[in-house]
Amino acid sequence: MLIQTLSFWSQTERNVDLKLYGHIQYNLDKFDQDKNSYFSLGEQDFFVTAKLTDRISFLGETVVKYDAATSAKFAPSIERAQMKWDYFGNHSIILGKIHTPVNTWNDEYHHGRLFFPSIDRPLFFNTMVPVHTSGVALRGQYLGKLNFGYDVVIGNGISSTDIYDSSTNKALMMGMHMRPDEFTRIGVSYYNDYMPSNKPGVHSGHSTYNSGYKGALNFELYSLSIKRFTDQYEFMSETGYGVNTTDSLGRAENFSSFNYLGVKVKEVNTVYAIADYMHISDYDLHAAPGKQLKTAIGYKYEFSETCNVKFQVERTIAADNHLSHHGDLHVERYDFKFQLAYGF
Amino acid sequence: MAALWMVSQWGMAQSVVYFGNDIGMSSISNDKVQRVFTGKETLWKNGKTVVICLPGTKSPKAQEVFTKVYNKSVKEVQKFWLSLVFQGRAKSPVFFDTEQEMVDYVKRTPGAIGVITADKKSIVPSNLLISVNN
Repeated sequence: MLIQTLSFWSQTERNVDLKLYGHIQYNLDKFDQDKNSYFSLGEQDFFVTAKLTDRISFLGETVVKYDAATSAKFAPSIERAQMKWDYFGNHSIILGKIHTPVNTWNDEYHHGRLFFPSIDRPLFFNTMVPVHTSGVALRGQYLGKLNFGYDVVIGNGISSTDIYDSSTNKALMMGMHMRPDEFTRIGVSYYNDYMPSNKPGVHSGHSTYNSGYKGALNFELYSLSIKRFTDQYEFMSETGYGVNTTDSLGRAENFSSFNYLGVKVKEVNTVYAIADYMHISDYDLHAAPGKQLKTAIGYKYEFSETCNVKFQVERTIAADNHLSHHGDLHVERYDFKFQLAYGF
Repeated sequence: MAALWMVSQWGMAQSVVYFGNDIGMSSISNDKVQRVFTGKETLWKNGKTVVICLPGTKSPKAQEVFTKVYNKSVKEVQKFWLSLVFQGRAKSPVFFDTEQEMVDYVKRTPGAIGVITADKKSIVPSNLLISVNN
């Protein structure tokens, strides 16, 4: 009934629009002597937009996903809920929970696997990227001939929950980008969150690593994004340099670089390769120290704008510095993944 | 008269005509049209919200219009808008199965701008037509 009502509005006054995005995946992996083969139901993403007045609009993204802590093993999660006021030209103020626009991936793809160029997010989304921020954002976009844009975000830090932040310090993110032509986006950003008491948070990637360190920690992330998607090829590079500073171990410098190159054949086919490297310093007390290098080749076929499939073969070598004295890359893992992504 | 001739000639050359309601201008540059129809403009200079009207996938003229406006296939244009709206960077265009539905909608919606093939120009009230200049 609700959907019918929304659909009715959508068809007439277009005040409310509801869409569903999701994916289904198959994995075959080999890790040491361990082998696994399984299908998995991916995130089911309910995306709603609404026009409240000429200048005020709402955007919501609620994802139902696997959650081992619940009896049903699936639980809803509000990933974005934001009110936007277009106060002048292409300038707006956003209030609510947003995807922190530190890089192109987090600013454009969110939870929509349909839009992902590869099957997974870059590695550093698990450790270094403050995926969400609840707060207020100032945004400008498509300004001038270079289509310059800016984002200034002030909000709850990475250790907050969706309803509470125990710290009175607020996180700050500043970013700017430009789109010199319709195919290209180049952006840089800076993110800072000073935590009087370190704790793992749901917004610093999806890692639940807990070092046990409870002291103060200053979290900084510098990001550089370059994306160029033409009709013939696709290139994307996401680089992150993080500095986490504590009184006990000093500066921990982390680095990550995700690089994607795809070649398009007849609009619907894309053959691609990925090289994704991440290094978390031994001195880091927020994310788990270690190194990872993932290389992959893949193929994407688009049935339509609302449905595509991806096949990906990966090799990951990793070093867990807790286990390896030298931190050498030595643990090997192979994955074959298939993903069906849809949105309508 | 000269303006009307220009509109007509431009329309014939492009095979599409643009029309709008209360967008604060009766002529528009080609660059501005491109910016508007790719979601790069949020508000008109008169403060009205930009509402983009396009042929829907069921419209037999969709490919012709999209080729002229975007130089892309229907699928590519739909994909472009799905992505842009998902990013939260633009409001979704309004899609119509027929030209008459689009014209009726633009008539009653301040800030709306539509585009149809030139052979249907006669169904657009003359006061809504927009001339496009280089």
